[in-house]
Amino acid sequence: MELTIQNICKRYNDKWAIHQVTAELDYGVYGLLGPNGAGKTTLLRMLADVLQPTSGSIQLNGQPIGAMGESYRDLLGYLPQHCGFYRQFTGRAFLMYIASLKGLDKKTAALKVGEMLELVGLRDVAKQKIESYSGGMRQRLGIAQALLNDPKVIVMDEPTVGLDPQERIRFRNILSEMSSNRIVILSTHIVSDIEYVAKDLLLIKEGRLLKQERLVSLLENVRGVVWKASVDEEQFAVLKKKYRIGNVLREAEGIEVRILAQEQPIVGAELVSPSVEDLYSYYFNEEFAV
Amino acid sequence: MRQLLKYELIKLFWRKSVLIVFLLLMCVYGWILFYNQEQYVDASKIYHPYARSMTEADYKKVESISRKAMEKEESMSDRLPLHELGLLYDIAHVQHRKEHYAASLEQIREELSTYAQNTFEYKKIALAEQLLIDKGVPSDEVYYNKPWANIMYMHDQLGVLFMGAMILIGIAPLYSSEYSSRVDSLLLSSRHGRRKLVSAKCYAAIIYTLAFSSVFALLTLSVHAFLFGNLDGSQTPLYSLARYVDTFDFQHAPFSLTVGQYYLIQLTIHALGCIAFAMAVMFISSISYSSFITFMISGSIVAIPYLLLDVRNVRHPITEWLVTYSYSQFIRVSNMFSSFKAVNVGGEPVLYPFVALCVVTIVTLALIWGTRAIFSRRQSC
Repeated sequence: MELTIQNICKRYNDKWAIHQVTAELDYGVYGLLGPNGAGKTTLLRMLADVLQPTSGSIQLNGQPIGAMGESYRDLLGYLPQHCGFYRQFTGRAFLMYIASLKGLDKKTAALKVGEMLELVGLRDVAKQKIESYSGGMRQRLGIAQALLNDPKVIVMDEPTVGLDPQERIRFRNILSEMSSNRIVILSTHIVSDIEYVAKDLLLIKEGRLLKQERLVSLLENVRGVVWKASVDEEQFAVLKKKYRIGNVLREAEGIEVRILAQEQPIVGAELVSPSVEDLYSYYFNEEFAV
Repeated sequence: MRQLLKYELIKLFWRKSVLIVFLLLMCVYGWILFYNQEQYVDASKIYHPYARSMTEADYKKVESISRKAMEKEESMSDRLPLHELGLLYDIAHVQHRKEHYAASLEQIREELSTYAQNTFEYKKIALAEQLLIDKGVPSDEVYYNKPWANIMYMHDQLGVLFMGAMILIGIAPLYSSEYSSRVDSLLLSSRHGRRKLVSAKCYAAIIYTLAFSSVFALLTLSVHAFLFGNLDGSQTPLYSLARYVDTFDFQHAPFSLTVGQYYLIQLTIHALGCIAFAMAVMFISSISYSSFITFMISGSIVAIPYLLLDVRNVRHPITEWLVTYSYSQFIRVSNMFSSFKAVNVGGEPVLYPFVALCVVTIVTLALIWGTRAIFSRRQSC
């Protein structure tokens, strides 16, 4: 199975939200990484067939997804960034409704719903109304609905928002298990989400695809530019002005800081192995979440 | 599809607002019953002796009672209970309706002679004449059909408000709330979210509308059967239908129908009108992000013609035309049958109820197609 994104563009008025993006995706997890407003959500909406590109095409095994229509959506599991729910429905009723939308017969739906509730840890609260769910529970319900039809193409936009660290680990493991025979594309700006599971990273900035490479290869690109140093407040202020700064850890003895620089930025700074956070910082030059 | 329909129905009927509006309307229903309590008296026994041809003596008796009241300068309604007064009124009307029939026929024949044959006007008046002849000279009997007159009155007075409000509150959020609650992305990305879902929503809206239309009809029927203790008069002619001391709304009706036949026709057309309006609301909902805006626009569509003609009595060619083809008139039904109206279709006169039915059917099918087209091509923002 191959999902091909070919020169797709999306324009809103005068602004290109996505411009000339081309990528080829086969089985595995793909992490879409980029700052806010980079065009990740727009790209994912087009992959989920809820938004038409202005130009270019998306094809599954050589067939345009727009022309495939129902048969493409039958293979799709989508979690939008802001997933809406029917607050008066119980978690189980909501999933049963989505199952009927996905074309599952009643018996299969009941089985799959039970399975998904178990998978996301909502079995005990399945009979409660969604309005009583916390943000994290709703997010897990959103993940469950996306996986109901055993999808072959999974598109998830910020799937870990609202999940606690343990739930995030659980979610990552689920994705990792599923990805052997599925195409999984997920966007996030929480870099640790994709660090352990992503086969390839797609770096996207201002609507353009900067890179599509293996994580190892991308990390190799920034090898030799990540430095770690312990500095005082005065030195830190100078470094901030001159270099891109990564993680900052304030300790009693001083400030431990990661610096992105081609040459040693300060005496005593030592070269370290780059992390995905350093990578993010290198390409997007922004603060990042962990 | 059945599963989808089931959940669409749950979404429609589970709204708290639907229950609240229904209960409020039941209060209005109760208030109308209370306000008109004098009407709900079974007078079948005092009407029974007059279920025969009226004689001069009967007319004179009514005249005498009326004269005596006038001499004493007192109102007849002060002396007699409403149902007894109603009997006198009905006896007097028997004489009047026979005179009116003869006068109408004479006037039509006079008018007919003023137009050249083959003109639309001529054909229209000739059709009116034919219908009047088919209807026949009104009988000179007094008929008792007060339970049905009150049932029709309730449908006429509260039917539009009840169904209009229930349709607006239930159907306005059908699509709008999916957009505003951002569930549309999930729907549109699912296998059946673009085609079968639209059909399911459409069927659910029709079932919802028919359910409330049936509830209103059954409630009205059973409440009146309870209040009167019977439902006498379904076999009486439609032109004799009136509440106690009230206008005979159907005395100019061009159709020779019994009250029972008209009731069935009214229920059918009322239900069709409600479904047509529900489909219009559904269409507006499919293009609006806000249930409130859908509610206001749809509410205006049904309320403005109703307010113009039935409340404010604004008579102007444009408003008359608007009202003629309005949803409110279609839901109300009575104005479609109360008098002779024909529309020029290719030079031939066609009775207004048939034209209205065709127009509403075509518009409704176009709106269903439009809703399907809009949602199946929709892009989530």
